[in-house]
Amino acid sequence: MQAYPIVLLEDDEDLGQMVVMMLSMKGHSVLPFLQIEDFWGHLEQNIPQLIITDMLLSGADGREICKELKAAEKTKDIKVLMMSAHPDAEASCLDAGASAFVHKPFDMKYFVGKVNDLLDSQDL
Amino acid sequence: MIQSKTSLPAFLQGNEEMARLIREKDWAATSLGPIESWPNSLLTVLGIIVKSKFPMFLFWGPELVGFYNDGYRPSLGNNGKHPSILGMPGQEAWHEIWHIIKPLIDKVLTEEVATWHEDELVPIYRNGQLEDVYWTFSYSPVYNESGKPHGVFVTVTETTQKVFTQKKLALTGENLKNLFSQTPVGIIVYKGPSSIIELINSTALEIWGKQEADLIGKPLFEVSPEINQQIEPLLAQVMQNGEPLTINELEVPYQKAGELVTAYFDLVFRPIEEEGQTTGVMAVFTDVTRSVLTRKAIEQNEQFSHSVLESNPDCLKVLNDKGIVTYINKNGLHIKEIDHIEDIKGKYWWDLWGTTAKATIKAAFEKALQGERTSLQDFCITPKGTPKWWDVSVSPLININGAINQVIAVSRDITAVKKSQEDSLKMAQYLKLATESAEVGTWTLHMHNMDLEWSGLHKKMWGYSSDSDNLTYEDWHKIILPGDKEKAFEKVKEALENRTLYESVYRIQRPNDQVIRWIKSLGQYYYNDKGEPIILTGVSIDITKERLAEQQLMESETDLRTMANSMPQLVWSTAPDGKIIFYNDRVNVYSGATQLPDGSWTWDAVVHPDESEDFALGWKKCLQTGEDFVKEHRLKMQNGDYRWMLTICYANRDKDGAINKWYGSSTDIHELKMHEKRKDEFIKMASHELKTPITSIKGYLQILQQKMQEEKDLVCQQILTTLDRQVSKLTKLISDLLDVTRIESGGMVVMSDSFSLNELVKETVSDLQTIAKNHRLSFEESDSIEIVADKERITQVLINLITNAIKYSPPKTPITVSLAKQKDEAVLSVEDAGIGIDKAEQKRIFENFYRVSGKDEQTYPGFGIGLFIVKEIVTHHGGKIEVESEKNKGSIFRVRLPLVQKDKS
Repeated sequence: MQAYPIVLLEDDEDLGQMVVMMLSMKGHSVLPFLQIEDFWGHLEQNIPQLIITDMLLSGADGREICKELKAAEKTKDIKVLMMSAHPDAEASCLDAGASAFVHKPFDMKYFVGKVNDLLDSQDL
Repeated sequence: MIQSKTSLPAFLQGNEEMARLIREKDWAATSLGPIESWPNSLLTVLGIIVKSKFPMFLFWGPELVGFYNDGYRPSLGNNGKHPSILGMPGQEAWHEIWHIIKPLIDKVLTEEVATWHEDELVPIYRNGQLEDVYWTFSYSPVYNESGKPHGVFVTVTETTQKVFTQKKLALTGENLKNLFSQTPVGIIVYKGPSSIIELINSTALEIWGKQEADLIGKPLFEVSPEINQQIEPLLAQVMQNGEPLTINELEVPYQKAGELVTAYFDLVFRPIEEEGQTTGVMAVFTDVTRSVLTRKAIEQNEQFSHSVLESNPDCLKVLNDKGIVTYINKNGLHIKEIDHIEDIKGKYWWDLWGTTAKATIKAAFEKALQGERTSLQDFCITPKGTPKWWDVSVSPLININGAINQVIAVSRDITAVKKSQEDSLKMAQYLKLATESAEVGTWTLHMHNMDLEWSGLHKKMWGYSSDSDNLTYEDWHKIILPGDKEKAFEKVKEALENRTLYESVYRIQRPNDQVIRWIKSLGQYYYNDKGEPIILTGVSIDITKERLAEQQLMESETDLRTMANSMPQLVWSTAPDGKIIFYNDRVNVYSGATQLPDGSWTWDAVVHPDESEDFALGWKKCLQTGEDFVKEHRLKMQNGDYRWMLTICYANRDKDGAINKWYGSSTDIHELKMHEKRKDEFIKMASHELKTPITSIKGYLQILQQKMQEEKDLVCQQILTTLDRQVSKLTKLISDLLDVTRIESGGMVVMSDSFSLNELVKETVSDLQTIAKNHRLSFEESDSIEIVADKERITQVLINLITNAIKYSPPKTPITVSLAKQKDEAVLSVEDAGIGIDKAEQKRIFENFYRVSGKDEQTYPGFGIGLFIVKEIVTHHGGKIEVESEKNKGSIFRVRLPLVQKDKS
């Protein structure tokens, strides 16, 4: 069992903190990353159950990250939940291999539900 | 002086000018010495000369000193020899013609004979110039006391006037000659007792085998002794008794091209009379050799000379004494278009002719039986139906016994000749008709004297009175405007040099009213057989009206062009098939279009590749249907860049509704487009950037709500709910902005879900009721309606319509949502009792960023994009939206959606 089954990649610190709080309230342990390098560094030693990432990050595209994860044997089974405020993002994110997509801004109930769904499906 | 006067001979004391000049001259200074010393012989001759009224001149003595009388004086003219040559040595006085007259004088003096010269050209210096003067004169010797010729006596008459008149007459004769030249009969005019050939036409020359130049002015005996021998007695006979003489089939052997030939002629000699005297004979003759030879052959040989007959190009028929055809030659069958000789053999000859000709033919046959030869021309249709004209000669055949029991008929096909005659006759009639009915003037210019004949209408057209006579070439060109004159002359010359039709357009200023008119003239030269032009004849038309109309058209066209070129737009017009026929300068400045060789250009090269297919298809469709063409597209500039243009093209129709032209324009909307694009990008960026902090705010709010719920802090819960609602509104506004952006950039995606419309409406209404606490929302349920559409988008439509109704209605008023099925459509209505919408505004409310203004310029919150989004979504579903509204009463918005989505537009 990992210390942090959920890893968050979000370059907006306040938003990232909000997501961590929201999920913590529902009993999930989330490790947030602001920098992509740190995120990849963490993944070298750890395999989380779920990665939540924004689509548009400063200096990177969440979809490319998703594709990279899905391409590597070690990380290909990790569930990826993608978020974006971009109205047309959903289809391209799912194409990139994301397991689920959430529009920003989101409803807490809906968002936590999605996370639970993804973690549950993995348990099966 | 009195003494000296009395010593003068009486003839020098008279009042004659020359008598005075002789007596006043200082003769002592000359070789003759004073008058008193003059020999009697000289004085006698001088006496005759001075007193005579007849022009006389005397050369006297070794120096040939000159004397003349008053009669001679006018021939010396003014400013010339008179009076200086009186008493002057001949060589000095007549130096310019001394080479002509000195030999004559010498001849008279040495041979002692008189000479006679008629109409001799002896140019002399008079009237300040060397003039061509014609003289008839006689030189005779004058003897001195010793009986030796000592002088030359000259009687002389000036005949210049007579010679010129004769020349003029000859010129008139020339015209006559031209007329005769084309006549198919030979004509020769002989003049005088020695039968000088004065006139001969081309037919006669051809028969004779000679050149005109070798014959004219020569006596017949000189050019053709062999003919003269035969003809001379006949000519003499006519000259003598002045009666015409007709001879048929005269056998004439003569030299033709170095060979002696024998020909037979039918001849008529007609006397030519001048002032009651027979001065010449006109011989008119036709060559009848062929028919004579043929007949002779037949006469000489009962078997016929087959070769002569068969080789004859004409149709030869032999008829028996009953008129039945017994023989026809091969060529005859051919030109008569008869296939088998049996078709006509044994038939009466006249039965081969049409009813009208029958009697004439029969009469000719009967005459032939009487020994008379007949020539006639008649019309007959061949068995194959070809209408032909025939020249027929019917002659008796005399057998060895001198009896006539057969007749020979020679028919020559003259259809072509007849036809050309008829054609020219017809042409003349047509021309006359045409000129009379149209406003056409006819004219003829006679080349020999440049006289101009004009029809009455022509004169009127040119501003001359219709009875004005004696018009000349000058009357034509003197009223042509200076600018056009040279060109008009050039055209006259050109037509002559190139032997082409004369055609010219020029302006004249009418002499009667000074009005300037445009004239078009057409004409043709006619030449004589020597190829010299005789006349130039044709027609003239006043084309002022047409010219003015053309000019006006050109001016209005120029106006249009100027106007078109001053426009900032690209404007053009096309033919009904879309081919560009006019475009303004702006097109050249603007577009990178490559012009086609004919000056037009096509769209495909200049429309941006991304739009070119749509453009071409759209244009093609419009050309087929006649619909208006409206497209936004990029157009290539000269520098290769593209700019956005709005191109609109409308069909122009004639009164029958057929398209005769397309008028189009392209307006540069590039700046507008770029502005819109920047706006779109801004909105897109802004909405995205706005959503991120909202996501945080909304998230934290929800976390707080959760906490407050756990701590049961009702006040905070209430505050947080309100905050959440406000954040949701903000989120929706941002979403709407994004939607507009996507719609405008063509990026709206419509999904297809199958769902129950009743359920969706019920849920949405219930959701919204929780927010809209001040209004009563009601939903009248209907039958269950299943629909295939984008569920989220339809929800958006409903939300927008209901929130609009809430926004524009006073509190407590009802808002009714209803749903019904009509045919294959679902009809969703939202009715309110709000402020309503003006009729004028109703059309505009579906535009983006349009907001209805309320009372006292009160504005309602929002971007004014809700209804725009609704309309776009409904349109994307293949549906329609309608509005029914009355100011201050309320509005009903009705959405019609197809139950099953058709192809998305």
